[in-house]
Amino acid sequence: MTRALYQCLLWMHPPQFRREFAGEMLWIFESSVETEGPANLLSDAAASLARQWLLRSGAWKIGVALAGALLQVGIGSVGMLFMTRTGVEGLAAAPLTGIWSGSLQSKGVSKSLELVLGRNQGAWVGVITLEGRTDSVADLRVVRSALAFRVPSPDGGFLFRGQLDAGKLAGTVQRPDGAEIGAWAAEAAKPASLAASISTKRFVGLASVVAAGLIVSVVLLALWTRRFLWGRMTSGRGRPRYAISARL
Amino acid sequence: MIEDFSPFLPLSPAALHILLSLAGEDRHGYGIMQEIARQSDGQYKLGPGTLYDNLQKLMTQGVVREADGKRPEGDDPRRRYYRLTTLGRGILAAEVERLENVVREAREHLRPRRAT
Repeated sequence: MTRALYQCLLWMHPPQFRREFAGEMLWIFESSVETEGPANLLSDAAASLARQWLLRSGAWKIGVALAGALLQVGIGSVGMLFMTRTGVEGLAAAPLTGIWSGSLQSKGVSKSLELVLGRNQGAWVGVITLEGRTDSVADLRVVRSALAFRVPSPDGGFLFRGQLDAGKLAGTVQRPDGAEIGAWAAEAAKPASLAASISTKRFVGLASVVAAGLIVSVVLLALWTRRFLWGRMTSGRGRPRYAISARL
Repeated sequence: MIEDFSPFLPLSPAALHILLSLAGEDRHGYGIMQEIARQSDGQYKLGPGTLYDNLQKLMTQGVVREADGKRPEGDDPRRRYYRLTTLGRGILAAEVERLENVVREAREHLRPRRAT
């Protein structure tokens, strides 16, 4: 049992050390387990295992490089998420952004309607075109899938209220005194392209920063690994680590 | 030609004892451990892990090498014998000289002083 445990500890050593010394160490274990005691030999092997991996193999450098890379990517991602918080909101509201085309029914008359909705620096903006006349909408408010805005005019304007339902925007038109004067309905004309352009820009921004972090990390890791490998090659057996200076 | 061994000095206690144990004859790992225990009257014991960690370092530095002599009859094939190189012998001599100086200095400073 203790021999198997000792063998297992030896097996976990770095390959180079294991190939060179594991056989001898196992032989010493078999020869000295009676006199030294299994506990001493097992603790020695455990200490050796830690020493070989942490101090001699250089694996800790790769671990540090990987931890650095993860940290960098993590910081980049969190930073970008923080910076694009409005972008995330924009993505959440994306179903309403775009161009909506439909009609306004008022007193038995149908008028063509086009509504453009979007976000500018976190604020909702909109433009409405009724029978060829275009106006900017005022007091545009969006709560989830419901929206309300005012179309100003000299006589007080009209108040539009609507709701997105099953891909269609539909609602009522009221006078400022609350009297309902008609109903309107519109379907998405080009919402996907506008929403996509907004989300794509933010995604590209986020991806660029994360990719830049990854590239820097990979380069650092490669440099570190190269140094580690180079160090291993130049400290091979038969090549003294220190130069012996000679005096005549 | 006088070689400068100062880059190797001072030796760690483990390295010093390993070199000392190999100064007389070639030994295998277990033999080194036993010789170290004998030299220090059992006060300094080296485990196999510490021994081979040091041996690996000393072999990389060219201080110790694997002996290629004839093996005793019926010897376990897993045993490998280690030998002190000329460089290793020089380093050991330099370390002993350094330690002699340390001991001399210590004796001088520990000598009872006369009251002035």
